[in-house]
Amino acid sequence: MKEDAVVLRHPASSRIVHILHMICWTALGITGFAVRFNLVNQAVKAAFMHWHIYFAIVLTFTTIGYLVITPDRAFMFLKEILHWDRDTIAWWKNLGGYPYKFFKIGKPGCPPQTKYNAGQKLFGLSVVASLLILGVTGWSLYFIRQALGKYWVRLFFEAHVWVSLLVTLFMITCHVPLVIYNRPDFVAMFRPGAGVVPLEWAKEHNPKWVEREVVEIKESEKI
Amino acid sequence: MTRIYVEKPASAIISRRTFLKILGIIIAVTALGAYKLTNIVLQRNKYIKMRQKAQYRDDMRVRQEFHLAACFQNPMIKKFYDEFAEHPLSEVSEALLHTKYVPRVKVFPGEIPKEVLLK
Repeated sequence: MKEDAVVLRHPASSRIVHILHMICWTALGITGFAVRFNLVNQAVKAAFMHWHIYFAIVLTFTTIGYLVITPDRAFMFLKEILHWDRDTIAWWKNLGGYPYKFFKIGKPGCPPQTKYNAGQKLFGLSVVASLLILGVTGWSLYFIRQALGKYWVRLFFEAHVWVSLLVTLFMITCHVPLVIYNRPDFVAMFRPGAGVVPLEWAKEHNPKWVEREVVEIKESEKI
Repeated sequence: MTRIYVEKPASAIISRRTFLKILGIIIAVTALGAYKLTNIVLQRNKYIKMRQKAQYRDDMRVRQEFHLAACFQNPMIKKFYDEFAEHPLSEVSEALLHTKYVPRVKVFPGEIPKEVLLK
């Protein structure tokens, strides 16, 4: 009998939060940039701002819910993206060998990585920082605009726009194409059922994670 | 047959006691910061909202007297922008109409009685 081995990469709570964030970020990006860069007429702008607030409410409560309901997952995620060792730094020397794979530029090979590679860690950190910045600036502009005064309103508004634009560009140019390229990871996030990847794939891409942090579960505890 | 592997739980890395300590510190810092911020904002908003209320009341009086649907139909405002300030948020209107909120205590020290400031 053939024996398969899989490892749970994305637990249900992380997948729900990721998918809700993805939907909200897309809607917020479309409505926000259309208003900021005058891509639509005045009536549509007014409607878009309403939708911007509705999706911001969902995004805020999703993030707070993740922290409150599953603090262990939030802790593990933060611990992972904040853990930078020698191999994480070494990844940047040839960007994990991706330029070589796609364009034959640089050197092949990738130093052993933990659950997320160095690029994913930087992206994770930028998303966490941007959620904090966008939350503070966005809700301040909505609730305490008068109290902020002209200088801080301008500063918060510009920070809100440009931070979101930078992270969105990072997402579109790096995160989305690379995660689609790494198909098992993409499938684990969006497939029905448990978010598992083949153990062999995990050993190849995230050897340190498999070696140090992954354990086999008993038959009775199976997902 | 499929063998399934999972990540070690967070409790294997951090004890319940340490986790609660960290959580307690985060909640305390957030709550204190939020309290202080709310206090500052409420203080600042108080006078701004009073001024705003007075302006809306004046605007309503004018609109009722001249039977206008919106404030931008006010003939005086129209004349002001047509002949003088060009458009709202122009340099002229910004210089003349926009208000900067500064603590007057620093501008006129000693002139504002303490009991007024405390209200």
